[in-house]
Amino acid sequence: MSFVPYSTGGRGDHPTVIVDVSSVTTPVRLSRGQTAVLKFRDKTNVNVPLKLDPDDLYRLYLFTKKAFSSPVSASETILKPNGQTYTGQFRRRAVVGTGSSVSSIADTTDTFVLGRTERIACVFWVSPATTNKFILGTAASKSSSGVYETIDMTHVWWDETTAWTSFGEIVFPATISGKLVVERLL
Amino acid sequence: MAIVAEFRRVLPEYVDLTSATSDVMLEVGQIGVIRFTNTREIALHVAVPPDGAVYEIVVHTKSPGITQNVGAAGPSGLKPNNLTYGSTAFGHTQYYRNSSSLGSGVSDHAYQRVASALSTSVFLVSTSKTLKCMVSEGCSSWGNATDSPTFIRCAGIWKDSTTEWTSLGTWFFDASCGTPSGVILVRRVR
Repeated sequence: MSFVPYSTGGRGDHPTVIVDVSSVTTPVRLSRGQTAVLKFRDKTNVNVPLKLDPDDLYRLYLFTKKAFSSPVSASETILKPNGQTYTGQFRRRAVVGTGSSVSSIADTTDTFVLGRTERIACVFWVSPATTNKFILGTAASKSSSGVYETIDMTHVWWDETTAWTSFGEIVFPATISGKLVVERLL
Repeated sequence: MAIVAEFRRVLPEYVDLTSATSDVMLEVGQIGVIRFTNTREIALHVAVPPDGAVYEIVVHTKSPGITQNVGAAGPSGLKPNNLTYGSTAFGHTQYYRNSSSLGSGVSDHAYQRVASALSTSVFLVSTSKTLKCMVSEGCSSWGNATDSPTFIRCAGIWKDSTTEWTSLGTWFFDASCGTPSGVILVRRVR
């Protein structure tokens, strides 16, 4: 099913339901209920031009695509909130399933982590509340050893004072194409 | 792909239930919004249709949980029909990852347990009389100061197949959550 870049089927004050921000350079603020779509091709980093407010709540979908047989990187895809890194401020708790086993992760990072390689499909709830900033959800990644993993996790920005005002930048460990969808729920 | 088909062509309709005093029947696709301040018990005021429905519920707190030591974590959850039932009426199973280990558990309760001292939880509820159940999409819990945060995924079932689920019920937080503030979203899926 393909996307309609601009829908006119809405109601109320915001008739545009799905907003294509692929070429947007100045950050925009979604209205409640709106969905932003960002398509990218052959990138190692993508700026997500969305303004955030502490009372918001979002659902993020990220799908990347690459030839099935091509190798993938052993490094992670990350989200830098506000386009920055914050040394040691992110606590991750994750359950990892592969074809043969279940393992887990409890660590501290400098950014949010969306996937274990650049080839991922993920769905995350995203909270920019200053006193409760996190991503929560599930990612599927193709690992560097060639198998697919599922990762269920919460990743909390362990800080109650820094405002998350700009969605930030997604950085991939290798060149990749794909589609990002961000839906504002609150 | 099913997940793509979910994206809407029209803006969702939000229904503010914060000040509701009686139950409101949501239409499919509508999202009920219940804001709460400094309280552990929140009546959702959502009426359930006789033939059952499916709801996606987001419980989202904004109270500081990092600097607040929530202490030992007890259950938080949903009281269907705003009631508790027998102590083994609801079965609950979960797996989790806290700071020290990966674990799992099974327990019975008088209500639909969803999480421990949570910060945010997302789950689906089916209210059909003969199969009343809950499936978690994920939970981020403060747990206690040592374990925080904790990731939890769980499922639960109301073992009874004769009682009608007529009111979605009351959400309650464990005492270890203090007096939380935040918002609950209830989206009727079916």
